[in-house]
Amino acid sequence: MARFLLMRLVQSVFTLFLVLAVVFVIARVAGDPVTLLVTFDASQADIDRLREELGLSDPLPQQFVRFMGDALRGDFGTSFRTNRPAMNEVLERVPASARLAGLSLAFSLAISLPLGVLAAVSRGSVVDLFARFLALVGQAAPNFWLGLMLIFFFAVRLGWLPTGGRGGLDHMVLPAIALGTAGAASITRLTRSALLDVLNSDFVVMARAKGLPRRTVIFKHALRNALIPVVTILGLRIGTVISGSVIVETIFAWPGVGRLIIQAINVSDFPVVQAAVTLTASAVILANLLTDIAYMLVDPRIRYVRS
Amino acid sequence: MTEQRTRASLADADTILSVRNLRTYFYTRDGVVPAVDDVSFDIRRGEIVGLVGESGSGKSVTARSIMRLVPVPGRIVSGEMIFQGRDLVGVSEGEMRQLRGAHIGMVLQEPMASLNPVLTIGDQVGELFAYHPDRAPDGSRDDAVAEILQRVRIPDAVRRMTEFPLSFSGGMRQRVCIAIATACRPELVIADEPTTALDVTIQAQVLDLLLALRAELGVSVLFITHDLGVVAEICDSVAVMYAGKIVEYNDVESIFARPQHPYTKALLASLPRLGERLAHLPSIEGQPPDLGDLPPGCSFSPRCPAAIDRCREQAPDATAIPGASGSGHVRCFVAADMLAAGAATANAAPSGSTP
Amino acid sequence: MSENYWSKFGHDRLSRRQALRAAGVTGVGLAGAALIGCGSSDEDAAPAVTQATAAAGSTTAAAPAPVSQLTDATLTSAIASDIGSGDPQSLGGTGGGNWPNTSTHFGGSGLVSTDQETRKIIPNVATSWEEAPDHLSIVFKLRDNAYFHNGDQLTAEDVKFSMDRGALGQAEYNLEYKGGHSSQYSAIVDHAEVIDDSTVKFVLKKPDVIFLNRGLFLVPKKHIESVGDVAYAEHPVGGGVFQFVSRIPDSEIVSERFDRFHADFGDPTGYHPSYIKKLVQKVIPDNQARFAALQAGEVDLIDKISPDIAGQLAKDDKFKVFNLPGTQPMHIHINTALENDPESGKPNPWRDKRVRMAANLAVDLDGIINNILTGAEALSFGSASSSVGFPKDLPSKRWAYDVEAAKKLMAEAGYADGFDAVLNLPVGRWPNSRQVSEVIAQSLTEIGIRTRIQELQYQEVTTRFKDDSLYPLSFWGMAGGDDPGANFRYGYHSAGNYTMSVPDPEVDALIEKSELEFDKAARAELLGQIMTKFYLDAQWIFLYEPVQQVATTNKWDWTFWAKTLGDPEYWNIKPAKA
Ligand SMILES: Nc1ncnc2c1ncn2[C@@H]1O[C@H](COP(=O)(O)OP(=O)(O)OP(=O)(O)O)[C@@H](O)[C@H]1O
Ligand SMILES: [Mg+2]
Repeated sequence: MARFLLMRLVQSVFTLFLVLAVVFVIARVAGDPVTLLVTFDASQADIDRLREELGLSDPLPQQFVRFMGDALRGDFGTSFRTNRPAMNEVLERVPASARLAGLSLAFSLAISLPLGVLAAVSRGSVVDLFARFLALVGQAAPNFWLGLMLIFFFAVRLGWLPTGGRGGLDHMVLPAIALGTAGAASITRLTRSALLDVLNSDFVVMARAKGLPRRTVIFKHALRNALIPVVTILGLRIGTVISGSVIVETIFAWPGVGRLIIQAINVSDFPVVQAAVTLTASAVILANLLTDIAYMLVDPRIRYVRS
Repeated sequence: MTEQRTRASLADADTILSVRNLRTYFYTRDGVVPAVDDVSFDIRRGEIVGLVGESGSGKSVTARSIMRLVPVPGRIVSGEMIFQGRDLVGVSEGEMRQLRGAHIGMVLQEPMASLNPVLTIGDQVGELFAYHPDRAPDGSRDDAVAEILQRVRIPDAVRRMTEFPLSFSGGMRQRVCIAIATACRPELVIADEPTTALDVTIQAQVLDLLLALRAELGVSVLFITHDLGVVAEICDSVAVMYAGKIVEYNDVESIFARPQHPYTKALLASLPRLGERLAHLPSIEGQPPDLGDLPPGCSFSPRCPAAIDRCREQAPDATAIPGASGSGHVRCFVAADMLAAGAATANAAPSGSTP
Repeated sequence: MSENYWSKFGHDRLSRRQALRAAGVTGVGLAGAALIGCGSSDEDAAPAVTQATAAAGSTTAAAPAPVSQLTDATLTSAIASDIGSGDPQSLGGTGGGNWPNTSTHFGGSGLVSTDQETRKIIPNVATSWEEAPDHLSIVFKLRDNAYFHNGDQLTAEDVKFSMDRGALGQAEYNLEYKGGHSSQYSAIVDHAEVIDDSTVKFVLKKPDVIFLNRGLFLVPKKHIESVGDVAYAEHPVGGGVFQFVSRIPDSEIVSERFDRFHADFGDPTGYHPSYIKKLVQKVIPDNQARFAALQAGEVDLIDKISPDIAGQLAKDDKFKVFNLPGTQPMHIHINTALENDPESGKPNPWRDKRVRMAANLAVDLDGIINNILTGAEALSFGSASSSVGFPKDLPSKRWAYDVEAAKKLMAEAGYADGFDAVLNLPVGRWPNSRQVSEVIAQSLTEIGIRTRIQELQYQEVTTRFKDDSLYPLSFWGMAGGDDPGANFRYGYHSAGNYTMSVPDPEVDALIEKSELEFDKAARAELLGQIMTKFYLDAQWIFLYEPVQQVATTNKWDWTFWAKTLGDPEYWNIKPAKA
């Protein structure tokens, strides 16, 4: 198991390196940030001086090596836009994003697990039909559209909740729903189908043949096995949630990392883009790693096969 | 005739399960599939009854029907299953739960898949006692589990009960399944092809184990198999299934010595030597029928060398086999005619079950 | 100003028309200049490129608010993007990325201001100024009652410090400080000298005819030296109409009335505070979400809204829609710098004036303005905002929509069969640019110029301007401003960074001459000649000056003071009388 973890770790670091290299290059092909930082009539001398100061005049490979070296030491440079350490800019927004992402995941799970289980155990019933319909709609609805619908219905029409902005739980409810709905939909579907599969499996028949009550069969025997693919999807969802938060945070004016990334991309604020991508990519990779570990805890098969 | 026979066997105090005219159909989108159609047989105390037949003939569905665990879209349509005086077809789900595991144990066809991968062996055996406290042995549950595992000859049982199924070989897992099926000392064990997936030596060990358990616990066994050799070795009587129906049912000696149904005959004829083991049922010319689209008349008629016109028009009823013990019968016009003729000319119907 | 060439003709005519169209607005003219040159798009936080000659702080002086009318009202507004830094001189402050801050906390606090009627430079913090005869130095006299928000009096030391820090990299407390905004000064100003507390002198490297139009944010020396750049950026102190109270990044900026806002309107006190007591600016990036926030009553004012939302709000008498006259002429840039089409290798057809004329004639500008845009947009005649006034006869020589004439010109030029073209469009940069570009592409295709739209990142466009590689058409906007001199330098002159036109020695010579012409009338005439020549040569496809739409609830009254503005004048907004 330790060897497996080590291997996954090495793999993760390599993935991170690749992500950074790609971001580094893509950020730079889109154009010269200096033209956004100076006035139209700035003299070439001023532009060159600025480019020099920002370290943008060196050849790309050299810039990349320097960037990687600095990054290893935790230095992601200074934001062009705010003149503050780029990583600080990102870290300051992590709590807001984490709270929103956490709530949205909690929402996803709170909806999807019971609904998925209910749908599976009462297959073909009204509940099942409802769950399948909801899953279909939830997965198809783009989150910017859903976000706006939620705002116009619950905030404007009914006036129950604020339209957006930073704040307490009341400010987080709608964005969490907008962000979590796609997850709720896919986890509902997955829970349902995974549980259905498991309910048809021999060991569930065996459990029933032992005379166990239905509840024990479903929760002790079936659900734990059905949750294995769900845990996997949960790990993958971290990535989806982060990418979704870029849009949802913008619509709900939620001051998180997602919005920061959009802003930074718009003004070619490379250091912030790079810092933000490093952090989010690390989060995704870490989530995948944790998923693997959780997976091992849930499913002894993997422990044995890989140890 | 069948009605009379039913009453006769019910009167038999030794009979612990009496299945009468059981029908279990699947209501699929493509139509009704009569997977078990008018099936009747008896199991007496301590008896091992073999259920043989081609793949898809309805053996597992019969077993699942007895457990009342027929998968959707299947449903028991009619019939009786008298177990210890109660008709299993009619008892409540709660009552049925009391019976399952405690009074009727089941070993599934696939030993590899019938244990829960995420629970320890000890847990999977031990939880039986939690739900059947009246059948739980005295003392700690762990001790009881260890003892049961030892009974099915799992070495190092105390340690191994903390392990997960993954670390068990197929044979070991089948032993665990048998342990589970017999943990509560049930009156009846249904073993659905318990040896098919295992290699020959393991098969032999598992069979020995079953026989030993029968000796020790006095259980009755419904033994489902493809293997006529095994049947000859351990069964007391045999039911031969074809396309959802029992085409011939008799004690094992009579079946092997004087098979009545052309299907039984064909099966035995293709066996090289009595007692020789084949991993699979010997193959017979022609295709097994599609249960969703059965031919008119006798389902076997398209493949039957002895079929007469009548066979293709009418489905034969069960005819008692003269001299057979219990409810031995055959479903074949030709065989029935021959039996009738034989009984008339030889006038030598031995006593036992005169209609 | 000379009535002959640089008259108010266009201004008067157009302003009346525009005034009629601007819902709920009275007295809208087209003069004035705003701090922000290129407007930024709705969602993005991209700093708009600051118009070079907009005198930061010199243009946003407020109309007088008689003390009797001061209220305790709080105005909550929704703005599309947050500031990068509270420090107006920082790199992030460049290009208008800090506009909520520069227009509220620093707006109206420059050395000089512009009279909205006469367009003359008028006193503000400086009461008078005097240029040396050789134009190589200029001395400002400061008023003795100008203060910063923290109570410090604004002195000559502060002015020198502001120049040293913001533009010259000579502020002794921190020579490492990376100033951004005022970089154009580094080529012009040699140094600043303090003569006495209220007198400051700038010594120039070369004469600069538009020196007074260049902006300089005045920042407090003592305060910055004591708190440092970081703390200052987090809590800016200026002399603008509002004083900074607090800010939560990406969420809100809270400001309060500055009672000693020191704009000179001839008021005896010299101070002109805002009507409202408190200003809360909430950052809501999404256009629809701002709309929702206004409807839900969470905010009183939303800016940068799309025409469809403005249309919905205009129909509802609970809301008022304001059209802020634009400051930034839009055009389609034509690449005539390349001799050949880089793809086909054939001669560049756009070098033929008849093709360029045909392209101008092919576009139904009035249709675009009335059907896609707000209907309040003014026509553009080149890289100067209509607020500065055009040569008298220029509007009458307009390229008016005429497809037949365009087709004829194409045939005369030998392109009866047409040719292919690409229209490069910076994505999301200007409101409605996509729809407008589509219509233009269609119109050009109609006369044989088969045009396809290619979307590009804004920075890619700015970058590729440098090597003339955007071919042949690019949707583009130039900052307007108080004086078009600088625009001509970078947009018309062959040495400018933002031109892809084939060098025209005649235009170059005129521009160079105008830059040394200190006689106002003579210079106005030169500028008029440049503009006329460039327009009549059809160097670009000339479009319009975009209008920014802002909506409030009906609980507010607002009369514009500036004739051209890209952002709400919060100090002029007051609670409506019940
Ligand atoms: N879930 C189901 N849905 C529909 N039909 C089914 C289902 N399960 C079984 N059947 C039908 O019942 C018939 C009998 O199946 P069963 O599993 O009892 O066969 P079997 O005799 O046990 O075969 P094998 O030797 O392969 O185990 C099948 O041929 C099939 O047509
Ligand atoms: Mg089977």
